[in-house]
Amino acid sequence: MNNYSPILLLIVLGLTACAEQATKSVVLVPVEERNSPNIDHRSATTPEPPDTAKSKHTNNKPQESVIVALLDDADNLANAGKSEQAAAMIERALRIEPRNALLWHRLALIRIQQQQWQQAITMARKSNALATNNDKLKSENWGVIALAYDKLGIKQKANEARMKQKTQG
Amino acid sequence: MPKKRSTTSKRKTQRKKKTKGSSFKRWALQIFVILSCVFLSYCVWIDFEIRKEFDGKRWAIPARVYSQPLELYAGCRYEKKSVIERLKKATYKSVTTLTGPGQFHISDSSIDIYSRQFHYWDGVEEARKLRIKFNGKQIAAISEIDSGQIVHIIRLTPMLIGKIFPLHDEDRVLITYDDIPESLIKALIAVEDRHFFEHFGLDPLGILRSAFINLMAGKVEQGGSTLTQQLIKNMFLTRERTFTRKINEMLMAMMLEYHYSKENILSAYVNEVYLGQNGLRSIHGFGTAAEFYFSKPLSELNNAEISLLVGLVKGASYYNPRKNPERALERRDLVLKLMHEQGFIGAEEYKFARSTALGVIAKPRWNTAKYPAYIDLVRRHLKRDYRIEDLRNEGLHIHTTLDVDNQEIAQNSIKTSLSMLEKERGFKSGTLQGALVIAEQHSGEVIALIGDRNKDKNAFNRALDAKRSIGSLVKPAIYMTALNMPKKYHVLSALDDSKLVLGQANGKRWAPTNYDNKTHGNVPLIRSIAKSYNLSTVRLGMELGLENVIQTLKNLGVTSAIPRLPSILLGALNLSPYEVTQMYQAIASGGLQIPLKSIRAVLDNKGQPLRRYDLAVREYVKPETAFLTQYLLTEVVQNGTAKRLTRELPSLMPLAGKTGTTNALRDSWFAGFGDRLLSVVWVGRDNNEPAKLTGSTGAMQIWIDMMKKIKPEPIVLIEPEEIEWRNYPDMSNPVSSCSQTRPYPFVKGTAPGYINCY
Repeated sequence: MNNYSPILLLIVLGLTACAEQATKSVVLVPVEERNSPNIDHRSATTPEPPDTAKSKHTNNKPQESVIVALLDDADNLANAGKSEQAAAMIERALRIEPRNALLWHRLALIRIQQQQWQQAITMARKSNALATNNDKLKSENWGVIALAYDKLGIKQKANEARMKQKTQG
Repeated sequence: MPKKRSTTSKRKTQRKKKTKGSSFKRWALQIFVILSCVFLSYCVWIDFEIRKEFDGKRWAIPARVYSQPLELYAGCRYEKKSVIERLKKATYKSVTTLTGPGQFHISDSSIDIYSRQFHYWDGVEEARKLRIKFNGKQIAAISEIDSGQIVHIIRLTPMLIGKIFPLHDEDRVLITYDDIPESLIKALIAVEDRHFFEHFGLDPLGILRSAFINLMAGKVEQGGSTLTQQLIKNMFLTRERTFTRKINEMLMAMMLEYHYSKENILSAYVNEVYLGQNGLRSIHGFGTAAEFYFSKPLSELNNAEISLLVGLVKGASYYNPRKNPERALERRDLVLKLMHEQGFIGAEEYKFARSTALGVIAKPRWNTAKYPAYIDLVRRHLKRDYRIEDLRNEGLHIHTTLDVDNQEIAQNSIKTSLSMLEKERGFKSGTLQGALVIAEQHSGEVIALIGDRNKDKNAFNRALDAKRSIGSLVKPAIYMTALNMPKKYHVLSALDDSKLVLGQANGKRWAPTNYDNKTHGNVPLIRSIAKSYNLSTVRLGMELGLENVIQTLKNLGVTSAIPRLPSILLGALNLSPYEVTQMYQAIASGGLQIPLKSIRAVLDNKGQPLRRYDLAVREYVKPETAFLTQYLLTEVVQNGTAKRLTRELPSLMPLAGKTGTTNALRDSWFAGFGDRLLSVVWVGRDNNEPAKLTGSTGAMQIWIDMMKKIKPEPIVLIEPEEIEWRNYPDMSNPVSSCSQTRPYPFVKGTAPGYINCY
């Protein structure tokens, strides 16, 4: 038997232990640069959000018709100058689809009609938060925000909102 | 021979007699004039009193409190059996053919409904015939039966859940003349006053006739008083049977008829007549009696039911259908007989009506004891805008946000879970108490509220008034404060969970500990909140500054006094379950703070809109900060102290929540939410002794039991524009190998380039 075998074995074991230790304490390089099979390179910088973050409210046609019907009623009421009843109609629709960006936008418009400027701003911002890829709606919301800030006399924020309206549109 | 009386003395005598006679006549005339003046004055006075009372008559009508209506539309998840249950609760009757409002008919895959008319804030929803088709567990379509037209959305009549009564405890449902059913008028005429529309307040012929009938029958079958006289007696006079009172009654009846129309008088009668007793509350008027005895509006009563009520006029206690059903039946049948004899109902209808049972419900369905804690909340909200007299007397219609189904589920869950927890811990029954609030997080509507484990009690409304230490429920506010500084803190920031000792202003030292009495060294922020570590949290809170944490709590809607002490970082802050719900609402809604509310609208007693409580929003929390906090709370459920939810409610995942436990296990809290519903539960003991429950073994148990039945929608995290996702090693648990990665959210531009795995 080779007399150096136990020593070699010990060395190998030692090196193995060191390697493990090194792995645990190593400072990881930025994820974009790692070449590990554990990382999905397609989403190295912006990975797929977890399931919790995916909207489960995809187009649900039967519900859409209710929302459309309520919105139509709300529009008719708003056009007839009955803004409070129009708001009640939209709130009814929001109880069915609270994350509908268009509903929040319409409610913001009614608040403009009612000269509730701060409410209009908050609701338009909420609509923007939900509008995700709808640039047109976002642009309209920035328009609402700009108008409301104008009415509040906060010119700087009004101008910022107008800039965003242009860039979004 | 007697001397003849001279002519002079004869004349003198005659003159004397004449003088005496004239004096007497004069005297009599004077007396007569005086008495007439007195009598006329008296008549003028009572005439004035009658008109004053009648013209100014405002019945004290209790406010009526309604639940929210059930809104149904194509695509909504509501099974056929649930709709049927709900219809029955709203006292709809199952029939083979729809003939009037308040009925429904069940087919294989649909339900036909004849809905009731109801006044909402935004208009009247008229009574109509509708068909609801089902497709498995959801509604496929709704249409009008007659026209076949598609109906996009309907509202089933809300349930009357309570009333706010006048001080003198009279209960009334006001009925206008136009709303008086024809059958009721006929029944009253037939039994009480045949010539009502012809006489002048008194009916001499009627008196004679009823005397004859009663004599022939050997008992009193008919009274001789007209409806007008009865009204006078009810409104102005006592019940004593004296001659004076009778005279007054007759005089006043004639005066009333002189000044007011038959319609006015009949309408007043229909609303004034005493028809029963509900404990301390007297039931006045046919409208209220219809609800009290049949749980239906007056317009829906049939001839037999109307006859029963008319029969009560003669003696509501004597003919009480609940206490003396045989007598009531006999009296009802007599009314039907009189209606038939006078041609008001045909032979067949008479025969059919007589064959029906009394149909009286065991007890009224709008018992305020049913949801006393919730009604208490409504009353408090109303007091902000209405005087108590208006609430008690003006007959307001209060449309609340209460969801009756969820309220009952919540009540049952508290009751059964507390009993089970007491048995497990060897407590005597009744030792533990609980309270909970359920709210729609995007509208702030409170849909259920429990203040006591006993549903009938509300001596102490714990949901609103039990201010208890909130323990770890405060922690999201601390982490939110940190995440609001994204350049300094993110979800993977390293926090120090080592031993900590703080000096206090009083010279003493405070050494908080973790629940497991261990320290954990460096921990990522996300794990610190998931496992609810105390040391790292207190250290973080001190770094952030108490003032900043307090400001966050205020931004989240906490209005109670917040002590400026480090101990608030571990929840030494007393709030009620309602206040905690308000606090978590802003987090659950993605950053919009919406004041909790229990009322949607108030209408007057005619159904005309008075006031609407519209959606009002405030943004004190940045959307990205709210999002990150929501994300942390999903981690609490996935890998933290609320992990049991993933095992007990797997089909409802993902959810977000936070457990809370206070010193010596005195208070057990859980706050949890999905996509729409947020609920906060508290369990403890009124005497503040240890409940021997943590947040997850106590309050969370109730939450789980409740949500198994309610089945809330899972949370959907919609990230704001400012959020990006980056992959990093999975540091959910200390035993992770660091080789697995998962995405984490960061405010754009703040994700670390390098990170240690720990």
